[in-house]
Amino acid sequence: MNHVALAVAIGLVRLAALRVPPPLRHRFIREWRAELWHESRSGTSTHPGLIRAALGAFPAASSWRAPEGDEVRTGRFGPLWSFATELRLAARSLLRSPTFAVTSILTLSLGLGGTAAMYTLVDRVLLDPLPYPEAQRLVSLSNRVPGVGADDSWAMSTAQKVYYDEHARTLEASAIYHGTGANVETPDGPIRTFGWTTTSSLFDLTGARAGVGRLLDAGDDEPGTPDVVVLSPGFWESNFGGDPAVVGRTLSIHGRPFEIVGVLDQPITLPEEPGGRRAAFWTSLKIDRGGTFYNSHVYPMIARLAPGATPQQAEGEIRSLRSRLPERFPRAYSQSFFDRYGFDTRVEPFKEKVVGAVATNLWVVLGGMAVVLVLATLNVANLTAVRLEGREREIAVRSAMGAGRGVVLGHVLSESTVLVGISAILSWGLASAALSALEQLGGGGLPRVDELSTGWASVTATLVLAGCLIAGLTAWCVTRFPRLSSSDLLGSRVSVGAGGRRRGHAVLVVAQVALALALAVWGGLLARSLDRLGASDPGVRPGNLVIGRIDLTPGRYQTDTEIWQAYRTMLEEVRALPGVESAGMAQQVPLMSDFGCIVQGFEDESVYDQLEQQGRTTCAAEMATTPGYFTTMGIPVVQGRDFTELDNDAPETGSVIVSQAFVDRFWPDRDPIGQGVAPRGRTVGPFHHVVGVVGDVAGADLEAETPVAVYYPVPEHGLVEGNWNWSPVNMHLAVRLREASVATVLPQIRSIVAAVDPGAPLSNVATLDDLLARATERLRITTRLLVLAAALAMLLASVGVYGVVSHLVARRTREIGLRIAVGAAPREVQDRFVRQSLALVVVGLALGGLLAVGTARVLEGLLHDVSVADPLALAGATGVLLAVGALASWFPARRAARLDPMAALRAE
Amino acid sequence: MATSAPPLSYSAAVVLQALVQGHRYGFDIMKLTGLPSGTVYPLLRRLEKADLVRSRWEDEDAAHQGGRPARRYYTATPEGETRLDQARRRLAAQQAAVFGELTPGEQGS
Repeated sequence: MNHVALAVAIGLVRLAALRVPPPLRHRFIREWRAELWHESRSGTSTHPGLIRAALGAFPAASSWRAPEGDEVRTGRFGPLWSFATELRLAARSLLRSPTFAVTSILTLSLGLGGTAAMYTLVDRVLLDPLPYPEAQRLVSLSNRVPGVGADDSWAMSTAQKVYYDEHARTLEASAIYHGTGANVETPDGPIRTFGWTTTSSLFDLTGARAGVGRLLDAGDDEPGTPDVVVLSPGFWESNFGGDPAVVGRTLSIHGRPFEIVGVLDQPITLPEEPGGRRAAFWTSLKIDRGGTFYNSHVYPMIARLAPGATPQQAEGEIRSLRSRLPERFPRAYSQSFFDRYGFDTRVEPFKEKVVGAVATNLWVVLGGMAVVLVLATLNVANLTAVRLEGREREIAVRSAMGAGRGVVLGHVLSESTVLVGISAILSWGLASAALSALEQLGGGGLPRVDELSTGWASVTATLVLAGCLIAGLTAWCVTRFPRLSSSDLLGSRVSVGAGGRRRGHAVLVVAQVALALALAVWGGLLARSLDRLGASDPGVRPGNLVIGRIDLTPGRYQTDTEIWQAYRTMLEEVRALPGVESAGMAQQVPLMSDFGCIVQGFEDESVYDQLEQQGRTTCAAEMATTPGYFTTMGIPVVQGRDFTELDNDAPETGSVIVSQAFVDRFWPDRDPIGQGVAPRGRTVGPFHHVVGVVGDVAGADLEAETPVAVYYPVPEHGLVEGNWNWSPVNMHLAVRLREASVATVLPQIRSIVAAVDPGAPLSNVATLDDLLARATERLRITTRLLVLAAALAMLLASVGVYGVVSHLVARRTREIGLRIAVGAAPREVQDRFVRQSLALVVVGLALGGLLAVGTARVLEGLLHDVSVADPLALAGATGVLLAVGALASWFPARRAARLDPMAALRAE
Repeated sequence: MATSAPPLSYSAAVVLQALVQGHRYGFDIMKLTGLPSGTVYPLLRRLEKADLVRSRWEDEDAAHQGGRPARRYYTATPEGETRLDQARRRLAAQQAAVFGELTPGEQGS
């Protein structure tokens, strides 16, 4: 131990000795080493004492420093020592040009901070593995059905799960699940919540553990076993106060008793979770392997690949297994079904499923921020080089006195270190602030951001970037002094090597303009897309409109007429509330949820032939609707009439209303009024006859295809015997308010619903304005960030152009003075400079245009109704940059034109 | 000459005093005076520059035979001893002024 302490102490002395002039250094170290050696042998000193004594070598060494700076510059450790001095000099010289320093630091920290923040996001959301065991082997399975729609995707069936479990060797384990909204009885009354019905294998695949009790196991998957439920930790905390004695108690879900067997340790997040809602409960999905299987594709499926298997191999194997499905499940599959719809199963990494939708957004914004950073760096490099040129003579003097290229290197290195160092610290703060703001906002629609923090990823990113910046800046500046010959610089009054340097400036201007243009075009495209999206008509009249979902208590109603009676009572009472203008209900409302697709039957059989030729199905968004719904939502009746109470009270009249898109698809050249259609693919009568056509509305979001909607009255929808799923037990209630506020009306609506059906909660309450804002949220955030980046890029590019032209003017002061003195018109001088710099800007714009068009394909997925080569975005961005470039060159050029020739000639 | 030089600081006087008493090495002085190394060594360097102290290296061979590194030792020059004398008197007078009324018994010690 003594040796270690002694070695450390001597190391400290050696370090301190760096401050001692080299000729004396050996003696200094020798003396201290001897003293420390004796001290450590004397046994009177403790280890800390020895170290503390050695620390005294630092002040001691300072006392050896020669007052003349020259002495310390020579010798072996000279450069290191001299760099510390250079840093101080650099800091001082930066303080003398505060404008340069502040501009550089601000632009660098914005670029660095933006890049670091976005990198952290990308790292957390896209690059980090999912928090599941062997997450890289998890895949998600879904079915492509090009025959229904090019981008349509169906979930999996129980038949597929059973068959692939038995035969697919590339899949080690799999789980299917299904989300259910449910009315749950809690100690505080009924609530509407959300849970998963799943095969127990899901818990194994996600590595879930029980916090209390047990999880679902394979035994629970068997048909005929008792109904059991596992609670999520959040639901357990908020409704049962985190009481472990909850195990064994009964929970009523949708009026059915389930025994609580356990509570999850950690919540599991699945990508299909609706609108970021956390699941409250987990019940088992019981598959009767000997029973009948239907062609029903409603179950998302995840699986773990066998060791060594790839998603492509799994996809290939499943494709080869497909042809055997009809034999095993004749009621579910047939070869003609495969042929007709092009039914095929897709296997993709589970992570792509989780983050796929936002990956492009994140990469695009990261790219934008990186471009800003590059521009900021180019600017600072340029400004540093310009400052350096201003000190040419000083550097020449120093090199004449024996300082080599190292002086220039040391100087540039120190100045960029100071600039980048301060910027890095600022940028880290900036990135942290941005990220915590994002987290506060609930992630802005991004998945996986709840555990976001400026961790090592962003620190490392910042440090690495900062290091690269220092190196890059230095390299750039040093290479711009290709042949530093002191005699040249001292001897001539005109600058040497100016040609090469001017080329350097030209490259900078061109690069900056090109990058700024590309970014501006990106921003322009997204802004145009957002504009289109905002302007795209959701088909409803905005305003003071509140929407909520009602789920009736199952089992309380025997017939569809009873269900209608319940809704009618609710509607009548809501309409009677003060301040309410109108109210109505429909199963699906625009921007709230996916409209789905259910096959329809047609009285006129020629429709089938026509669809066959078009390769389309009879699928349409079918829903029960009450009178007053279209009026309340502001959906126009374009032909025929609206529903009346009679359509519901006397179901035998068999009326139906269709949307314009429905008419366009199924009866393009026929009068729709009076046409016969039947729900759920029923091809035999009685048919409902069209009484009216209404305008189209948006589907789940503004980007989705316009739903082909068909609206049936409530009772006509029919409570199919034994199939509760088809009856309209859930509805969206829409209420348009006249002057009342949502806050006052909402409790009244709730009590009306509760009075009619005590087990029916009002859930998913939102105003139409909320829904509209939510529909454009993600694109809006991406667009804002990118437009911000583009604006910064333009600003930086204009600063760059301005800087270069000013510099050229300053360097050519004598020449300009001479020209003006011999008769050149000031105007001519001015034009000359503007022309020169605009030529560079134009070259930059041409390159930038190519770059923008070439890279804009990345944005394709984000654009709505805008082409990647949108001429308006391209022309707009080019025009703005051209104007900015002209302005930035005009100011310094005007200064040149106003030069007083006498003063100019005397200058220097 | 001596009279025109600035008076010794208290710690410089203490270090000189230690040398006069026969403590020759920097670390010995530290131990005796309780001053840290960061004070003693700069002081020695300054005193040496002012010719109040001289330093020598121990005999290299002797040290080598003893299996230890040679140490540098310091001695006070005659000039240094003169200055120390002046300082001692000055400091004693100051001490008397400061502590005299409290502990008269220690005066002149």
